[in-house]
Amino acid sequence: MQQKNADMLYGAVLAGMACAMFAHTFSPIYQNEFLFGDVSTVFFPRVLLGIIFVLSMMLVVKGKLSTSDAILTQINVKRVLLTGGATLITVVGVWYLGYLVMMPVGVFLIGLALGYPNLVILGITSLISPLVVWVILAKFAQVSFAPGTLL
Amino acid sequence: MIEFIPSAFAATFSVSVLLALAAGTFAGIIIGALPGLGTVLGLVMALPFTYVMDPATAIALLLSIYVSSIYGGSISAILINVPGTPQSAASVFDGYPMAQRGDGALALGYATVGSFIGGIFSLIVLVLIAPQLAKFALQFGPIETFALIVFALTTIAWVSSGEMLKGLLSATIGLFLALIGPDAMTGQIRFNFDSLFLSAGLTVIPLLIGFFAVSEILYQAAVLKDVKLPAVTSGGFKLAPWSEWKPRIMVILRSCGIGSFIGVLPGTGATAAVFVSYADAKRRSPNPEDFGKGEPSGLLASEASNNAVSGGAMVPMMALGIPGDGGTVVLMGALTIHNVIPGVRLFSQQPDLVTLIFVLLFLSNILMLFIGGFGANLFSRMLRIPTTLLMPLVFMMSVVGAYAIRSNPVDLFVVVIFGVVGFLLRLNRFPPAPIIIGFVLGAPLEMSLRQGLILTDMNFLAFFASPIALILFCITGLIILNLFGLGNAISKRFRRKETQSNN
Repeated sequence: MQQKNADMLYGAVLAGMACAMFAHTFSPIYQNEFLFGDVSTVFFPRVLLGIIFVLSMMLVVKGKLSTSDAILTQINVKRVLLTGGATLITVVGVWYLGYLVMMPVGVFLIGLALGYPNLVILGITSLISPLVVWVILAKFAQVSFAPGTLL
Repeated sequence: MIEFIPSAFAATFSVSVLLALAAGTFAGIIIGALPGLGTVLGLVMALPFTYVMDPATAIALLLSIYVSSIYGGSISAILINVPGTPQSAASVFDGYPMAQRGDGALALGYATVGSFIGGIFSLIVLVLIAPQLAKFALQFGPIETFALIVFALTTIAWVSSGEMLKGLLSATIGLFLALIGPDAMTGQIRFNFDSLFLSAGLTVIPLLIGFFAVSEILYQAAVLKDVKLPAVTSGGFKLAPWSEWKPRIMVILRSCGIGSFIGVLPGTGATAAVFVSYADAKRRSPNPEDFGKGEPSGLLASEASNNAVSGGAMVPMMALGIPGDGGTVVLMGALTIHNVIPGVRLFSQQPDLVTLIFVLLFLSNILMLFIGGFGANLFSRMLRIPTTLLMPLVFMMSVVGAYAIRSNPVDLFVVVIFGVVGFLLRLNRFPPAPIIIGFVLGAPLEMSLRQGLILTDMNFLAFFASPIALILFCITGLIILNLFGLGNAISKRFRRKETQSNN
């Protein structure tokens, strides 16, 4: 994607979100009495959202006026999706199955998604490193680890 | 403050603190040396270890990682031509040519000693300036605090990777994220959209893990070109004779001065400092043509200045509570967990702790010199670990750090969500640091604005009556004018007039 198109897209999305949030600040839940001459609780958020809107529109205009043909950094979409998917699976797995069961799988999956070539080393690292961290932090330092809701 | 030095040293010489210092220095050098990690990720990965430590031990671990990771970046810059951290980018120019001609050990010797001198110099700057700045800032009321935070955020955005508009947007987004949850003055829940989780507000640790660690993993996945192991030139450690150091003393001192000065300015950071120092050393050198071909002065300029930033960057963080870069924002977040709140009152209310921080920084630099020197061979072997194996481990530590802070599994999803958001923003060159700095400064900014408005009967113009605030607003205004391109337009007009008058 060209840089100028990305700027316009990001600017438009941020401006849209700022507008939606700004409209939300007029919700009845924020209509309160103000004590000691204080301003409304949504006064500062409205100022910020206004600034975000103006800056986002400036980004859109900058993209529109740009004559540059520069493109965004070339990315490996497949690898990003695989890595993102692996992180999500790991987090969901940690929620349900806990750190000790899921983290070795997660480390292996993320390494695989990133393209680490040696599966034996990756497998050994996946098994040992979460265990070492768990022993040091949970057993010696009493740091809490996710136990897993299903276990 | 001098009266606290003996007690600070006594607190330092406990087994746990010394172990934390040594482990932090060792880990910091490795983290800095491995390309793809760096200071911020190193600090993020160390966070879970600090949760159960006493404040002195936790601060020792984090400070030693902070100091030594900056130096560690030079090892990979010298031995594999890839800077381990952005701060070591200029060390490649002369460090790698030295290694190529067989002087790798000598180059590591220059880098280690240069980093040590830079670190000690910046510590002296920190000790001299921070208490005075904090004393001066005690006069600040809400109006001055408001002006200061606006100025700091604008400066941080201004120097953000040359993309000021995106830097400003990032900072404003960070400020807005800080408003989710209960309003500090009235308790009113804002922007929770009926979610119980959002009602409590977002916390800084999962947010910074998401924006810095998970977004980095996704970014590496996006841009990694190959998984070949780097070719490492010979390492080791060798000190040059005194005759080689003597003509370069001024280079080191000037670079230390530049690094410390740039470090004090919020947002500028070590990357800017090293290039300024390198250019300065080259300009003043009697043989500038040797720069880029293995001239030790170039390496010394880079290494002395990047470590000189460490103490300088801590000046606004410790004295004003304003973190200037990613490293100090993580440090500040970690200190907050231990009820150490950096800012004006830290110096008046906890002078013993401030002295302890100074002593720990001093010892971190000493340890960096020794561990860096003696472990040079080991660290150069570590460079063979590829990023594709490191990133899963970074994720593992991110999960541990995010969960352990509140034992709330929802924080894990916050980490992933903000990791994806951070990644998408990074793709279009939105810098991540202003978002987190904005998040940290959001609550005090709103509080100071509202208190100021109450004090002035809702008269915002009265904010300009304070001379300190007026000066800060004027500088902020000039920076914003630059955003709109007016600065360029005016200078072009002047140049055109000058050309016309010359003709």
